[in-house]
Amino acid sequence: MQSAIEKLRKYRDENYRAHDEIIELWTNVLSNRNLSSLGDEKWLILEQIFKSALHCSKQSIARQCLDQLEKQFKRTSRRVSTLNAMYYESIEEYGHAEEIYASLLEDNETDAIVRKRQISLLKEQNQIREAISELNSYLELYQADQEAWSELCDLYLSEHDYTKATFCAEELLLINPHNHLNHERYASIRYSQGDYDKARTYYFSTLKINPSNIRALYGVILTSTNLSIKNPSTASKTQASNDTNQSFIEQIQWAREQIIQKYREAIPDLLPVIETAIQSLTL
Amino acid sequence: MSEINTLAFTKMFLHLAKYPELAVNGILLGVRSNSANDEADSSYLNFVDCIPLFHGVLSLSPMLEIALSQIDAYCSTRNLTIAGYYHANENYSDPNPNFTALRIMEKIKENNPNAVLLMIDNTLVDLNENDRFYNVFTLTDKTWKNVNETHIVNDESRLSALSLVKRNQHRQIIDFDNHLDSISNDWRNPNIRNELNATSF
Repeated sequence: MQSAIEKLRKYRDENYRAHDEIIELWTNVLSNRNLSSLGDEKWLILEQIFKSALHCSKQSIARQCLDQLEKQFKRTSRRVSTLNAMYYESIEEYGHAEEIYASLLEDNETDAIVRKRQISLLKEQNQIREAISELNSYLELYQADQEAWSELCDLYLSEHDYTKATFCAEELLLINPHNHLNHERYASIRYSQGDYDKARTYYFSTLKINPSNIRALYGVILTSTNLSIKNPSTASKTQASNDTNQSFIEQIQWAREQIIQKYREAIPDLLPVIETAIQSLTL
Repeated sequence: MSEINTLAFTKMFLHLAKYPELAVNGILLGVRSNSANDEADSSYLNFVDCIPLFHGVLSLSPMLEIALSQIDAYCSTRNLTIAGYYHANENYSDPNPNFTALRIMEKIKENNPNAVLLMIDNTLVDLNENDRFYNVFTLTDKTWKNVNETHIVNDESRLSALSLVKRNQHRQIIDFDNHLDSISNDWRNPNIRNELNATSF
């Protein structure tokens, strides 16, 4: 039982997504044990099992946990009310869930968690435009919420609105400029828009922070290739323009060598495939 | 006409099971049809393997280009070809191909005009009740056509898929995103093939 508790703790702390495993732990280890010895952790665990049960559509397990939480904290608890609304979401009683969220917000309009659940409700019902609109309103107030900017970025990408997605990715860069993943995401969105120049700049800034980011190394090859195609070297072009192409070629070569080195160390039998692939991209 | 083997079917199912909350997509590989053979059968698709691609955001082009170039290179050494594409939307109740699926299918059809879309339908995902968890579509002039009745699935496939999920193999399957996160993750998934070989019915 102890190792199960520790595992659950780790999953809570590190925000790990392993719902089926969590339900297995509950069913096989914890459900018929007396958890009172754990003190307050018991309630955190019940809440965790509840959420995982919803993810796995095991409503009966969720009900068991929710009943125990309601018994302990009464229905007046905001946290338990929110869980109750989530239960309704999982059985597709969206109206019921929305009623609970609306009433919770009436009592306390600064409850960010409930606001985000309302936005999730819209997403569940495939009302993406409305979800985007509500999320924009939310972000006017909570401008530093990285999770929200990231979600809005993904929503725009699902609508293929690269321009607005770029804006969200820029906000994330401003909030956390030292995260190489933010640079790489920004570069990839720019690439998808066709802005190879910007994309290339940010693939390089990714590599400055994390020289091992494989996506960025591939990104350098793709962008430099596309830019040199747009700018073919001819006798009539200026020296500067031919020099630019030369530097593209050098950078492609450099990125290619970095990639090959990494594959040689990590997964050498995939190397022939990689070399052929890079060849076909840079032709 | 198209058919799918146990390996391709199972890998696809495992990919879905690994990321139930996200959109996922991937490529299906078919045996390359020999032009010397019967011309009339050149559009017959025989799916023999599956390369899971991405989970979460599916609409960014650079890594798709990288993935397709590697899969092409892999195919050319094995007499295989990119013959199909599978796609699962994020929303549980949405089994309709979207704009992303359209764009990717158009790209794939540039090299293989006979390629089809396997669009995951969550209402079919219970393989105890259904023999397949997707609908098959062709694409002509931006119009999708359901061709389910021309697609053959063997009996073993759904049993294998269920069996491997029960053995938690869905936690082991590697997609291209996993590979790009850490290149020692092998998108060819040799372990899954071994697990299947160890399974007998």
